[in-house]
Amino acid sequence: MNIKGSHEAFWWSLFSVGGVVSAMVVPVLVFATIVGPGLGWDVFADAMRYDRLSRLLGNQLVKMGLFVVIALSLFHAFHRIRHLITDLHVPVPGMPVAALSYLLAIVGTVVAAIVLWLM
Amino acid sequence: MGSKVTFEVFRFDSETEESSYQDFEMEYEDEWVILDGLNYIKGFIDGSLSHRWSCRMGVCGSCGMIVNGYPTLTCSTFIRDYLPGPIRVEPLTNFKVERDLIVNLDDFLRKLQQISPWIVRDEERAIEHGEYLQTPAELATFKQFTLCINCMLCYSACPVVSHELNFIGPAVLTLGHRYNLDSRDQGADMRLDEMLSSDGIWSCTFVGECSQVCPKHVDPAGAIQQSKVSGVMAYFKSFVMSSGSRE
Repeated sequence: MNIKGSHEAFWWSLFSVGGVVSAMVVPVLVFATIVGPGLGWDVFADAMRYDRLSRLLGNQLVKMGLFVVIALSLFHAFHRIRHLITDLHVPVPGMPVAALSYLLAIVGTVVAAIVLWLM
Repeated sequence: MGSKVTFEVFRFDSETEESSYQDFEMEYEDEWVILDGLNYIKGFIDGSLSHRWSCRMGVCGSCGMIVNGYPTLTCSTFIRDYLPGPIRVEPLTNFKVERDLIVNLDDFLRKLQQISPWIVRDEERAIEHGEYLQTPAELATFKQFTLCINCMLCYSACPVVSHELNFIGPAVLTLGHRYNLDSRDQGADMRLDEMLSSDGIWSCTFVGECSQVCPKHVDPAGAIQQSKVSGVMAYFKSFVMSSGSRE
């Protein structure tokens, strides 16, 4: 069986895992970092203090975890956007749209890696 | 007979390439389905109306049409659900129309054969060995996908089929998945060649309309998603196997 010719399986696997991560982890992060403190809940507002957050993000494991969440979410989002363009029948050729979508996801991933590295 | 309803029926003459909508007003019975209305028109009002049908009981999959803009099995849908009307009846979208409500099935049948929708064995056992046995649990893994009646409503509903003409499509991919899951089958590798091609499962954008319109609740979208997981496994396995074979 010659299935290496199409690398769609690879991009879809990133989309799929990214979907799970986006659905499971991102809402929790959004709640903990934005909604919770915004509601004035002490436990979250306290955790969001600069010194605490700075110390937390200094941990290599936390950085690694954030990198995985950001990268996979980007690949999930851009794969979905690529196919949304198809679903909406936007008259553009498929290959350039796919290439641009994944290029943007890769650029976002590299930027995330650099920012986290420099923290 | 009692109440009246109007059907707005799509008419198409392939010789003149002219199309139009023709109104037919008729009296109907409460238990009539859309197909009964069409048969009444053909039998008593205009014998030139052409439409495809056979079993009248949701089994043969012949009478799929677009009713009020939605892909529908006309033998399983009551006129009373569309009242007061008018009820617009059109041929399935995403297919070439042959005449009136009849669409050309050649492309669908070609795709159907392409996927080898039958049990493939490396070596057929002699008849004396008896049937290939299967446990109820093995049957349960694919039974839902055997319920497809090839009505092609899913092809009409699928936004990908409408602009990627070579896309194998929901029903056929589901059937391929059904045989890949069958414990008696040994043709998965051969089938996956087709299913994982550029015209196969990866073209599906998981809109899910195929599962919405399916009159037999087969859930083609679910089958295709399951096939994608199998495709990912096969993809990564192919790298492991080929790097192993180099050593």
